[in-house]
Amino acid sequence: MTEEAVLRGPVRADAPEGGSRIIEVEGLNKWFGDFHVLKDIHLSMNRGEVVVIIGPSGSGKSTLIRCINRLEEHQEGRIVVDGVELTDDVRHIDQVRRETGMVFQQFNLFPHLTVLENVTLAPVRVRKWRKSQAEERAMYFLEKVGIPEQARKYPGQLSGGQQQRVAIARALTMEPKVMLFDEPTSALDPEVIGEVLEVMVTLAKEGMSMAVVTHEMGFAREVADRVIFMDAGQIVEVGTPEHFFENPREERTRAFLSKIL
Amino acid sequence: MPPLREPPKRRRGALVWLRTNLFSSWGNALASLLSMGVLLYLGGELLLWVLTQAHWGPVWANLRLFAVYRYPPELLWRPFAASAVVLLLLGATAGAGRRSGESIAGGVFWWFFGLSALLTLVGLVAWPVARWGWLAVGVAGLLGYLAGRVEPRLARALPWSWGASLVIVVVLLNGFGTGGALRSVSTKEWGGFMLTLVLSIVGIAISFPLGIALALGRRSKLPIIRVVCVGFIEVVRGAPLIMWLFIASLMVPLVLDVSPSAVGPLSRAMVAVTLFSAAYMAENVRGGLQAVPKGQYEAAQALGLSGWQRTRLIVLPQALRAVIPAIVGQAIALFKDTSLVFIVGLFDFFNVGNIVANQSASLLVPGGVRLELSLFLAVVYWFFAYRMSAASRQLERRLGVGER
Repeated sequence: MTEEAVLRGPVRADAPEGGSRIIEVEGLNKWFGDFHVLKDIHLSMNRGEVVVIIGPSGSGKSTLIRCINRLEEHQEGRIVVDGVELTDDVRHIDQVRRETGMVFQQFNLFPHLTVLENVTLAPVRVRKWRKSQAEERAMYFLEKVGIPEQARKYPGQLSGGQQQRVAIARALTMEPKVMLFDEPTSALDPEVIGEVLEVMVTLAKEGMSMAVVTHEMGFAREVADRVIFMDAGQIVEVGTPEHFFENPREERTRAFLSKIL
Repeated sequence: MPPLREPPKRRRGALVWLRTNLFSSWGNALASLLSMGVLLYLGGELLLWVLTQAHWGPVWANLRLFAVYRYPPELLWRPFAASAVVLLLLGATAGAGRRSGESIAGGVFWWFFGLSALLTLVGLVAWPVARWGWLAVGVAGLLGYLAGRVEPRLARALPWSWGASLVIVVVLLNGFGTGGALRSVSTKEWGGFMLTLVLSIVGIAISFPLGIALALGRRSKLPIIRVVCVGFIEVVRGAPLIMWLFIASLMVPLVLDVSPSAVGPLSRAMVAVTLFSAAYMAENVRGGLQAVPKGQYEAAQALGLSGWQRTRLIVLPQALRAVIPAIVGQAIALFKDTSLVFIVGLFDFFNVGNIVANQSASLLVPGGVRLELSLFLAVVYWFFAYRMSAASRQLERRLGVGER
């Protein structure tokens, strides 16, 4: 960071004025033991916004996104999702998780359940829908991600790309207000990355609020409203995808982009 | 594109198998012949002894002792009725579940149906009192099977029926009141294979859920629960079962604060065997819990499942599946370890063997009949233990679906 940037203090990644906030993160700090992994994060997101978070590995971007549904506990600062603040209160945590869909790098489908059971589990157990209703919605989303014919199979019988699309359908069937993607294509073979990104692009264009940790700059260019570059636990630079492609301001941003583009 | 080719033909047949596996080279052929010779010699000698020299008289003459020991002979119909109820339900379960591919209940049912048929034959030859009893048990099983086949909707009533059968079996074996056909039979009179089965089934049925609870408790966030569970597991595993049987026989009345005569030896043995087995079950289950990847917990959390739902729906099914062989191994170990209950003065199947060996008729046989009795005991134990392990392999295969 330049000296000027240090004097400016932490970079704020505020959503445009006038929107309704779905995520607000204020003064977030987190440590793993003695290691300061997130430093003074200020970030907010409006409904319908697509925010892409990029940065070198170890920069804290996955940790940040995992704090938003409390898979990681934070030590300082405020995280508010859809008007509910994340505290130690289990009811708040449950409420936030119900309204937040998450897609993992390693898919994390339940291997002992069929695809359909994977997708209907939470709607039936958490939302208390009737099984028939849950299955109907599940089939709707499985069709949307393009694999209704795999509903009776087990995850182990599907390809990586298909598994990740099931994971997306599993999150969507809960009808979440915001979707978190934690490097959804990083564990996939190159030839199937496209089919997962395609689903995500459709979702973004339909107005889903999405926070996406990824290296796929093509995806960012196509649908992101804002891109956030993180390094060493800090937000270093915020801007539109065009800003990042055309003239990134910070030296660290340029160095990182030159490696992945 | 190159033309598609058939895979090379594999030659099959007994001769091909023999050549590739046993006679692929001179050295191999020599080793095969030698070991076959040794096996044939040993097996032949054993068979010769079993058929011509062994004295099976004491075994045939004491079948009732082996089955129930001192259970009143005039009330023998009650253990038979209990067996009939169980085989009936097993048959119904097997019959109703026949459509769902390879049936585990089916394998178990036919195995024990075969046993009842065999025992009917034995009854015809050497056990007159029991021939109608075993016949009735077999017929009950067959009726259950047919009922299940004809009306698969019976399957819905099965869980309740199994629960009810537990009560029926206890009432039949234990009885109540002082007079009449159902008069109470003190557990001190129980013995033989009936006792072995009661101890094993109760022990397995209780130690399995208890072991799961202990394993979960060992990973609890609450220190007090964790300490209690770890303490229990480590203390129990730290001493041999035989010692716990001693301790239980002295301590159970003390802990429950009743007179020693109020708690029968059967209850004391049951407590010791069950708790001992639960500690080992807990460690097996813990191994399975550790095998479930962290991502599974996280995915379940992210979907908003509660802690109990995560454990019950996501973690336990995967954890238990991973350790089926170890759990069944523990169940088999418990089944065989029940032979130690002679410590508290019970006469289980194994101990009846000792009694028969010391009968005057047995002592008259030159050299005694220890070897005959041991072989007989071993075959019977094997018959049950093998069925457990076969069922566990079937279960693994079925649960393995889709996990390749």
